[in-house]
Amino acid sequence: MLSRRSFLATAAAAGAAIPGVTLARAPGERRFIFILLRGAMDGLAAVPPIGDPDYARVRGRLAFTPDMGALPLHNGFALHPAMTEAHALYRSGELLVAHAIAPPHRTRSHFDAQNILENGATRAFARHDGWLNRALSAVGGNRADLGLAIAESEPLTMRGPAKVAGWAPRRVVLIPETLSERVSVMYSADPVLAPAFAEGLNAHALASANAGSDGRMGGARGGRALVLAENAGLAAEFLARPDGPRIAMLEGGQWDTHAGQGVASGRMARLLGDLSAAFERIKTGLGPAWRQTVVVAATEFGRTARPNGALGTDHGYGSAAFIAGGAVNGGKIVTDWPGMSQQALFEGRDLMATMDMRALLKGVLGDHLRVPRQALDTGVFPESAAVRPIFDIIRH
Amino acid sequence: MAISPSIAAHRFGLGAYPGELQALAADPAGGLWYQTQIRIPQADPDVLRRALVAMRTAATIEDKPARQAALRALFKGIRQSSRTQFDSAFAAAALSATPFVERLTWFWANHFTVSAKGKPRVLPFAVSFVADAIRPHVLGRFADMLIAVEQHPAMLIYLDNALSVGPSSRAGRDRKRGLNENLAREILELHTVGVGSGYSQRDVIELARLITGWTVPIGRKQSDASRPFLFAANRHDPGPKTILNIRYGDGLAEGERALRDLAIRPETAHFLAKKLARHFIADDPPAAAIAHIAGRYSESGGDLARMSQALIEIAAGRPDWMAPKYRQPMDHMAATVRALGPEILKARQTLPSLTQFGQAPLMAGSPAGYPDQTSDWASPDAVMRRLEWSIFAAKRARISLTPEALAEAIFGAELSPESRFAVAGAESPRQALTLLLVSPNFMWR
Repeated sequence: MLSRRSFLATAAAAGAAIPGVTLARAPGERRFIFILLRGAMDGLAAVPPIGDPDYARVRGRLAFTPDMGALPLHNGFALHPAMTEAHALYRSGELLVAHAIAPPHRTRSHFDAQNILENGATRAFARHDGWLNRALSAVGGNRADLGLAIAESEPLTMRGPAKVAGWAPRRVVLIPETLSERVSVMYSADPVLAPAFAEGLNAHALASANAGSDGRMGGARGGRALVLAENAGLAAEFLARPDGPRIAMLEGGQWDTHAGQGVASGRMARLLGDLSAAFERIKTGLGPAWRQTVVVAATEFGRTARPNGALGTDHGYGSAAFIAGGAVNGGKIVTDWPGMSQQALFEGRDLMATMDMRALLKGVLGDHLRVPRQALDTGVFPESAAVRPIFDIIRH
Repeated sequence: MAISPSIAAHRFGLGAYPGELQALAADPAGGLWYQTQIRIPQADPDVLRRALVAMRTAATIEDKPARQAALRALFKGIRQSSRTQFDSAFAAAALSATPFVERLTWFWANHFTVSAKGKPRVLPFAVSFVADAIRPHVLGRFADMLIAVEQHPAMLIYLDNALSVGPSSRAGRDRKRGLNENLAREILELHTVGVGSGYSQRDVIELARLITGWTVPIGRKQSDASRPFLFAANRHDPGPKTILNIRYGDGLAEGERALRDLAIRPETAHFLAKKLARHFIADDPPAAAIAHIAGRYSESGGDLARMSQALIEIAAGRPDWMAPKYRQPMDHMAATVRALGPEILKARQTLPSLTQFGQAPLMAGSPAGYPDQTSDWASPDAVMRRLEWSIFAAKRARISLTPEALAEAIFGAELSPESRFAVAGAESPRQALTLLLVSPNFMWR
């Protein structure tokens, strides 16, 4: 792990390489977590617009009825009843909801849309690096342990020139130094394995330090795939450390609810309950650092406004996003609500998106991580000068 | 056709057992190696039929709690038995006498991913999916594989077509149930012409209409239990459909005709060729390599044997088109078993190991399957996992050769100075084996 001294040295060197970036913009104590909800979260199930005059008719058998206990937000919106922790955060001003939002695409392909949401461009597969990695470069230079991806494999959002530690929770296996040294030497001429192994050893050291006496990560069960809330708790443990990472990415799957998604209970309830618990686990795990933290949970697109034949929903367009954290100016819903009448729906079937995901992310990265506007408009989100950041998401 | 023993064993096969390179060297034209692999295995319909009968029996129990309990017990039994069966199945595959065909089978199984992740009801049908729909066709016609896949109960359930009902069909009018686009979309996006090839949302809907009624005979007392596929005419959406400017009418045969038309489109040839080239030739294969493979596919009317042979032609004639490929976790495990023997696999640990590596069979996170480039599998964490796994594998290995001799036997002249130096300089034979298993030679093929 790098010492404070070597961190300053590498950060200064990186600052010299990126025009206009100075150490003053390093994130310091500010923390940012991005949660990618893969599979297209049904925004109308997560944040039902129960006050919309067309909602009950269009939504049909997937509509919330008054007896189902949806948790009230402002302006006729509600939260899914499984999201009790998120609702508490909303009431204490630590959660903001964005609605009718989507990345800049209309393809209804998971793979294209996730790629665009991750690469930060307007075309799928246009780039091999991700917006969060480029934002990392803009704020932290090359400090190797500034970024952390908790995922089975490194997500595109976090790929790029800035070094990022990757970690999927599991039992920590003891690796003798006599072995790791030999592997390092053996890999020294390999352009892929050498840097990967160096970073892997670094993360391994961090995890070994975090692991309990039985070699297990807190909250993790060896060998079992963990749900989002457990991974969130793990990320918080890493981010809470004074010399730990400051920017983390998590991902959750199973949001592709084509059949039997349920209304107040069932599959969506389980998924949303897990997401809601994840916010709470991050808050608890971070302790006082929560005040300087922003968590964004977003998905690649929404789903059809009407139920399909299997009481699920098919690929759509606009969805919802959640912004949580002690640094968030929350307790409100941000939306230019398009409505749900036949004319208002995108192609007569999906919730329209009236907000570009990049506007939200630019607002957070600019006001919270202090990524300069110039970098946001060109490097982090290429050719996005016309997409104005949303202000007022972060407390000032 | 002359390809080196190392390329035959490692790039196109599953690695080498001690002595395999010498055997391949005795077959200098490589013809025997290839020709002996070209034999088409037969499907075992029994597994699927048993699963179907068990599901049907359970599904017809009238009492809801009893029915759910029966289904739960069924899933649990299948999960448990699949875990033990998987040990021997994986070891057998890894030690296969036809490793190239095994690789092709894995490739097409991933191309047509079915997954029980988040959808456990797929599992009873998915266990025999590869044997039923993939393996019989890996050296046959793509169109036949495509139809077998899209009519397999695992796929029909995984991508929800089993529930899709034509809005204007008899069942649609009576019960107000609707169309499900999921399978139709993935047929176009992932299985045939590929995303960005020019189809529209309209084409997706039209194809979805055309395959309404393609379902699984569960809970239908009148249907024939011996056939796992059912065309339910009362769900089929009537009227003309137009897909990529070709008009289709009603019925099962028209849906199959659409799949045959999709199979031979040039976009499909290109999409499949690019994916195959990415798997065997290079992460970013040259356009000429893709064109060569696509050409063999198109000129043979979609013959996968000819398409696979095009890969060997490239290895023999244009090695400059090839770039090192990073072994995926499953391939790394297979190569370890081939080198050290199946004893290194602890009982019931094959599946959990692959799960830890993020490549569990039948558990991919999306219908796109597992990715296929170096950056997808060589993350810092993945490299550490491979080292940790190799520590355990080396501990369990019982081999008579010294690690240095084993390294020579597996890689021959291709053994790199770094790998050789590390194996020779280890502090113990066990550490030497560990280093061999994570050496650049072992990680790259």
